[in-house]
Amino acid sequence: MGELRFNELRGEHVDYAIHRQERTFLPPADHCPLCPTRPGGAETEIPFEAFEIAVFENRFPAFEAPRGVAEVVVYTDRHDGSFATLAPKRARALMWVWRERYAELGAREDVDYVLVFENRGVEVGVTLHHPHGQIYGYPFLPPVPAAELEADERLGGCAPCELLRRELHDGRRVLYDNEDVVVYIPYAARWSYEAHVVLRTHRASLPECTPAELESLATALQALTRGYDALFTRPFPYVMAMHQAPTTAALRQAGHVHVEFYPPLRSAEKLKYLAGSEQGGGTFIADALPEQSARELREAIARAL
Amino acid sequence: MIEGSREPSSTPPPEQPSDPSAHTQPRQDAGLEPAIDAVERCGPLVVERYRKADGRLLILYRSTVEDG
Repeated sequence: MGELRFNELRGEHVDYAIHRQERTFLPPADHCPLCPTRPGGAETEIPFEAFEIAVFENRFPAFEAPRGVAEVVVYTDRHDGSFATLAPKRARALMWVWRERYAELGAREDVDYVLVFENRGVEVGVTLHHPHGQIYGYPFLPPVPAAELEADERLGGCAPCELLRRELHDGRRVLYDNEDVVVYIPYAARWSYEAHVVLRTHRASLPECTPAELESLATALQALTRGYDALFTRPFPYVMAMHQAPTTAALRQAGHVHVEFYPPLRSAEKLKYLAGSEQGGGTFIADALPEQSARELREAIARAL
Repeated sequence: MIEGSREPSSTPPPEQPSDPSAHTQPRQDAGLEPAIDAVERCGPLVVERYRKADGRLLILYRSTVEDG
């Protein structure tokens, strides 16, 4: 069981999940705990010979009942590959899984916020290469979605709606769009190739989305991630986070479904580090203008599709 | 880093759709127990819930035959 402390100086929680120090770290492929269990082989987390999508409670949870939850979402039983290389049908199925987990975890009394996320690549701390993501059910509202609610106040309405309107009006940073979803690098992106994947219609959470919107979301996410891999012709590391409405009764409509990608690469071989200004001052020093990055990434997406 | 744990140096080819019939029974000695609401639907998916021997939840999602 972890311990949650409140850092008064920062005004934020810190979760001490010290048992995670013992979690499986970069095992060889034949000892992957997310692979199916082979006949005669060691039992993995999924004791089936084959599966499509699997979700299980994390053996090394950052949060656990009665103060939240931590789940692992395994995208496929194939060890190699990534979200980008999933069959489109599997990517679409994943949207339904995320939708179902948001609804179920969000209904819990000990969960105030459901965060669907994925860490890809050792550059962002991945400990298992098998294609997978995670879901945390926080027993409080974390600072980043809380800041988005403050942006709603500042802009006098839904901030993602207003920012999407501005990006479509400007157009220079738009990377991809389809009937229901727009992908763009934000005007004030922190990371060189940061991208936001935003539903055109205001939907507070995935359960409010139509089946067509879920399909469009999967298509847009795969377009972006395939473009990322094409950008430098290498597996492109990123942190992906889906923001939806908090799941407390008063805030269930206070959100707009969007997915944010924070890639640490600032060139094919160079990483952006969070250093003095970012950590000590809270101000990002960016290495590339979003408009230039958008030109490069737009071309990469076109090559990948 | 453990040898053999590096990511592939190039992007692998797109994954082919999996065969729903490959979904199999759990291994006999796994200690899995079907959860109470054992089979349900989630959009185009069938949901199967289990409890692991240590009490943790395991959920499998698979395509329906008509969707496949």
